[in-house]
Amino acid sequence: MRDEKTVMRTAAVIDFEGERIACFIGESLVAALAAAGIRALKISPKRAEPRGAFCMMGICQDCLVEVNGVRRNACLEPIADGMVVRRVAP
Amino acid sequence: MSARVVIVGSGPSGIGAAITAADLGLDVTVIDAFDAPGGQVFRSLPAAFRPTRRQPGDYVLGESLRHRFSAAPLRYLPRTRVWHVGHDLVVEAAGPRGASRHPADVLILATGAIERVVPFEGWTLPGVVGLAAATILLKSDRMTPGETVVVAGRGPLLAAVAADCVKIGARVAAVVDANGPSDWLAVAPRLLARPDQFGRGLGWIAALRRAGVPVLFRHRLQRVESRDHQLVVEVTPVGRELGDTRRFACDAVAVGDGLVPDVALSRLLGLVHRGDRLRGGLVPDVDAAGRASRRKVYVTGDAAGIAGAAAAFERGRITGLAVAQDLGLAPLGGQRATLAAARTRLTAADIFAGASRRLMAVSEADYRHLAPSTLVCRCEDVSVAEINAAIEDGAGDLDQVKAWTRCGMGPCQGRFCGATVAALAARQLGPMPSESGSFTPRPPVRPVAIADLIGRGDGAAA
Repeated sequence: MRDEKTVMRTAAVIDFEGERIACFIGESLVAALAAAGIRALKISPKRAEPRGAFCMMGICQDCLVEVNGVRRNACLEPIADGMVVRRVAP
Repeated sequence: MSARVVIVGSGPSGIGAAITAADLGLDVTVIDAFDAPGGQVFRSLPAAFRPTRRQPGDYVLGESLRHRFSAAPLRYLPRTRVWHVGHDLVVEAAGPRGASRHPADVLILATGAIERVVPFEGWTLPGVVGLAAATILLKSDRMTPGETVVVAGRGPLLAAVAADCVKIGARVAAVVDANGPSDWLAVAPRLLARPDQFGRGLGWIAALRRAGVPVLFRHRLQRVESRDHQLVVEVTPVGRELGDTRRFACDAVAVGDGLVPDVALSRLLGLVHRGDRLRGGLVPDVDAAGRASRRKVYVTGDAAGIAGAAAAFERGRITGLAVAQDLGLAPLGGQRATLAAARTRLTAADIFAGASRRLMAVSEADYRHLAPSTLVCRCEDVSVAEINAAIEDGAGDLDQVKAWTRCGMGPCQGRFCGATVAALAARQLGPMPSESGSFTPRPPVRPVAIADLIGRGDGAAA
């Protein structure tokens, strides 16, 4: 749930797996996706279970995605309008 | 030519060290993984966010730190990860402009802390986030981890996160605290060493009461399951594993069991470490100014043992002055006063931190109830049963457990499983010397793209 009281945001739209996600410029990609109900970002290597952002500081790597074709931690990636985001292949 | 001081990290300790060393005329380079200085406690807002009305105190403090940092004559490399430091003190980094090397005459590690989580069934589910992770969402993204949140673990962050969620308008289904009221009362006098923070704490508790949030003392998370797009959380009393289970439905769980220093670089450099349970387990052996076991290397702030953000800034300043002193720079008139003031503030901050440390402490008993199927290693999907089997088969230290099970071999480099494996190993093998009771770090200590290291052939990142 976003705090509407302490900040003003500027709208953006990104593409996640072909789906248009309305979000805000500068917020983390994790925040943008979570607000749209998308939390599963990666598949674990052995049990093939879904994983999502856990540490929010670029350490756990459970939020690794491809942003415009380059691997990035979604927790460290600020939203830019028109960003194209894909899950990484397991 | 003035000495080249390379500082890894621009949280409060890195900022304190950087502005002090830069003001003394040293050639300072600060390398940090994030977008803006401030670290995790004093996270900045995204540049595109426009702050309105009154801002949280940590943000205001962070802005003043950032202002002082940007006014100092130093080189700052944001969004840049340090993945290796050689014994020649050449710092290897990768950032937006590719790979870079930074030879240091003096190295200051201000790498801060990472979160410790005692695992439970379902801690790897999407929607379960760290407690410190939740504070980052709240401070920087200005959002709660979910619409209905369970906040669990131990330490003052529990109340901070729960109160902030309530303030923004989320529902807090429960606060699950491993400590009891008597544990909090026992440390209350020390919390009063910082009346400002004590008052803040009372404000959090009042906010939770007004919102009618149930607080379960002496309880812990037993299991989280994903059912019909919801998370169902099972909570049990600490020490009583049968019966009395309570369930809460939510869409997010924030859980954390204290903080530990990020010792990857200090261990990589082969610095002497010691065991200190309250300060986060394995900590570099440094003096009061951060001087490590090797000349020209300093560790400051939470990276040298957990004492919190307020203490970290003062520790950084003290380290910056020590560096200048060790380089033989004549002390300026104001420095003695600066040092005395920093020490006074550090004393108060550390009394307060002592209370936090007590509340965040875990013991082996906290790892006793782990179910065999519970995952220890998030990166490589290694369970409690697999770790125990490796130790029963003769793995004599953590590196052997790692080699046999792949636990700790993934991209987080053992930062989230190390404490758990150490506790499981100690149960069977008894207390271990600190070096064999932890993973040996190997470069790269942070994940880095091969393209960033070798360049792209266009000279841009060579």
